[in-house]
Amino acid sequence: MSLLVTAFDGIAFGCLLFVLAVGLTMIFGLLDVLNLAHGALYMAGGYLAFLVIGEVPTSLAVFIGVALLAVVAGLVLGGGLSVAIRPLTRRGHLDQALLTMGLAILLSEFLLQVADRGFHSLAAPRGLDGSIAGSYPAYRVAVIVAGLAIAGATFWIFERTRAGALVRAAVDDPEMLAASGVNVRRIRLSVVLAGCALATLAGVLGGPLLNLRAGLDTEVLVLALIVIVVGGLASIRGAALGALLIGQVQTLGVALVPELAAYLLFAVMAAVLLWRPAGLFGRAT
Amino acid sequence: MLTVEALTSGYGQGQVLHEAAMELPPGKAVAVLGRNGVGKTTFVHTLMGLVKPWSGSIRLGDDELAGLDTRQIARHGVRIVPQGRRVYRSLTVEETLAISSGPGEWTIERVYELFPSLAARRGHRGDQLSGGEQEMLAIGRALLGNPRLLLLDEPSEGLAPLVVEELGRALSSLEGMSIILVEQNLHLAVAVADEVRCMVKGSFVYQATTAEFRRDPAAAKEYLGVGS
Amino acid sequence: MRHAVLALLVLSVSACGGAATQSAADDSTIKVGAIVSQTGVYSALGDDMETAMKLYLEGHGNKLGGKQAELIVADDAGNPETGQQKAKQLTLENKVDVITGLIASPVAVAVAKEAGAQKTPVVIANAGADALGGPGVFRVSYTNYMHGYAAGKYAVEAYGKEGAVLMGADYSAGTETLKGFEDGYTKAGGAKPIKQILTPFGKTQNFQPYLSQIPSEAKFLYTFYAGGEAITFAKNFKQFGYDSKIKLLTCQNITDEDVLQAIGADAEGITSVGLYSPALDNPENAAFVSMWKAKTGKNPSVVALQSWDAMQLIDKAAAAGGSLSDALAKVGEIKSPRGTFTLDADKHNPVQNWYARTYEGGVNKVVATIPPDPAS
Repeated sequence: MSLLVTAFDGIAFGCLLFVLAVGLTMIFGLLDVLNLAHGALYMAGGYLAFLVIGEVPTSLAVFIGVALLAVVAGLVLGGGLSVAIRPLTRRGHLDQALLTMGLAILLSEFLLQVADRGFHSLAAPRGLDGSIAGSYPAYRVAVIVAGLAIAGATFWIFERTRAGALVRAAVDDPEMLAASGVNVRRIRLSVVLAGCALATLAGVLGGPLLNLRAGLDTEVLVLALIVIVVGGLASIRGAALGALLIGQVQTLGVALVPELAAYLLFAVMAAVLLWRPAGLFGRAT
Repeated sequence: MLTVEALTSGYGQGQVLHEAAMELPPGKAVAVLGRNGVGKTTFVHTLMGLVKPWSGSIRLGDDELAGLDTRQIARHGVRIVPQGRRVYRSLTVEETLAISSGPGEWTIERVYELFPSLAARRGHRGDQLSGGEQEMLAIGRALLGNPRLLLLDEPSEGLAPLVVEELGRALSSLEGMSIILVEQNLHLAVAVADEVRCMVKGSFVYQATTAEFRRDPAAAKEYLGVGS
Repeated sequence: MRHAVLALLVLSVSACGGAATQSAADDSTIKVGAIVSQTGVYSALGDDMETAMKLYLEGHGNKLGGKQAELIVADDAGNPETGQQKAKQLTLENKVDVITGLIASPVAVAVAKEAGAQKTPVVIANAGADALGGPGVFRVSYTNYMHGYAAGKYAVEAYGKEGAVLMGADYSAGTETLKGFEDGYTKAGGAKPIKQILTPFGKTQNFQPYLSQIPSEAKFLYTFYAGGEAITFAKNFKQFGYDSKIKLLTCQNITDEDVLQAIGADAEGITSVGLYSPALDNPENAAFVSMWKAKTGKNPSVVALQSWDAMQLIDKAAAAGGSLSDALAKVGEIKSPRGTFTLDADKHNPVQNWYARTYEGGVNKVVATIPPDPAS
């Protein structure tokens, strides 16, 4: 019974990880830029919500309003990010890593200055702040619902719409897409904006689960990187499967082999990479 | 229609095109022939803006294309069917055609009429198609842009003779479209093209109508190394 | 012209030299170097530390032992190498008379080594590593072992003599505290704990998988978590319904002021064993709490109290005169807001009361006092 609860909880974490990681993997797939500021964007979403509503429970409507506000902030920050990385489009990954890492430090330090360096946590909205049957937090069920809805919408847009086809074409062969008269730069910008908005949204969604604190940006960035490496870079399916897998590793895996808890995450990543070097859904390049 | 003058370009320090010049009469198909490595692909890539011209002029009607980027050149009505086809591997045939479709006389249905075997595979992804189907898809993708100028780079490469024949029929049916066809398969080239240009070391050195070229085995031998 | 420049140069150099010797020889000032975390994961604690030290100086006319005090704050960023470098700078360049601060134990170990080499005494205001302390190193906080030991003693009478399960973060502070608990518990007549659950330090975002390992025969759980993990633990414990399944006793960090606000309502009713509570009833505490509240609007944290006492210890030692190192060892009783305490003669660790505290209505209410073992 308690293992079932653990596995269910793994789904909640997986859903949160998906919302966080899907933007990272798409930005990498389309722009070939590994956005190390992704964790800081998550943090920005969380701190924005904290600065607006504080640590006391609010109504669901206010909470959703703040989540939308975070989406707007993500779009703005995404705009800034794409301006910053444009001069580096043809430079190597190291230059981009240094730049995005620098942006991450700037953003996270700014957030800590505006708020403070202490520990904070978002409260789940009223109505979702209790426990189901006294033993499972209702909010985590809401995270699963929200995560699945976002994942479903992402898949639908990506696989079933013209816009999604354009994005996939831009991943496959941007030069040919431009040779068809399509503005590839605009597609890239849209993906950066959407990816950043999802990251800040994840920050609000995860606020009641993971504490707001100095160093949060790196912690979630590492998780997101593991998710997309395991899932395979530039693949939405990969991000989804990777997120669910890592969610289970962090919960069910830890409950089953607690002695290895500290190494489990990296062990799973190493095992996946040995088995399939490009990740579960990655393309061998 | 298309007037190319003193066009030079290359990769990095290596110059490939040396003052290449040619004219394409409106509505004609011109085959660009030459041995491997003389710069044929570089020539069409430079026309498309995939390789930046170093100097010279590319005029399409009244528009100067030299210096524009690929998307702008595409917006002026140039389309390319690249060597190796380069179809979008994660898009279905239907999706590829849908995102390539612009206003004009070419519709997705018309592409399916031109290539019935493509219609049968409309739900398949680019990487699930055979080489011939990929070539048809790449041509369909280009046609849906209703090009004023169509660039075809080695369309027959790696395809079975029967498929090449089907391609030849389809391309010949594009009567009246301005086409530059780079082709190693001489048979296909002369079947499709109205005129022939031969390239040596990045310059055009020979031009003739297809009929004249057929009667000139010495030219074929000199420029292409074919002994027929 | 050239002569004039040269003369000016000589003058200024000699002036500098003069000033330097003067300040080194000057007995009327005392320089305190505080190594705190202004950045990094401990920066919230660092803020409290700095604020408390400055508050003490403000409240005492900026004097320590009657001498003009100068506080030089350096940032260790939570990193031992940085801390050691800052210690070197403070002793050699700033020529401080004493180093204090020190949040994280690895930083404290590195700094104590460096300061020892320069014969500068160290007053630790937080770091709890058991091995710290001895000649030249004084501690006004606690050792991890003592922290757990006091809780173990208390648990025997309040939670029963068997069925203990221990859970904590897998790093030195966690394992030392749990070891102290086990010893305190068994020495006071408790049975050996039935299970110990260690969780990876700093990497655990979710304690549910660990909580699910508590055996059904367990009677109570003692835990050690600090900072962000304390918040996550307290929330998980309550939200997964463990509060209705098993009794909980915690270390002081889980309901310390730095995390209480973030834990919110889920902190209500948690009992912990700690060395301080803002609710303690003594005149020193009343004054301290009101001063702190006026400054920050909040209750003082344990780190704030310890940092205050670090300044108090230096103040008293400086007043005694002579070598500061010797004087620090001979201060005797310190009237602290936590109650009166002394430092032991050997390792210079505090001999003090501990308190069982239950968090209710916004404050840790003292429910029991746990005196130190006689002659320990």
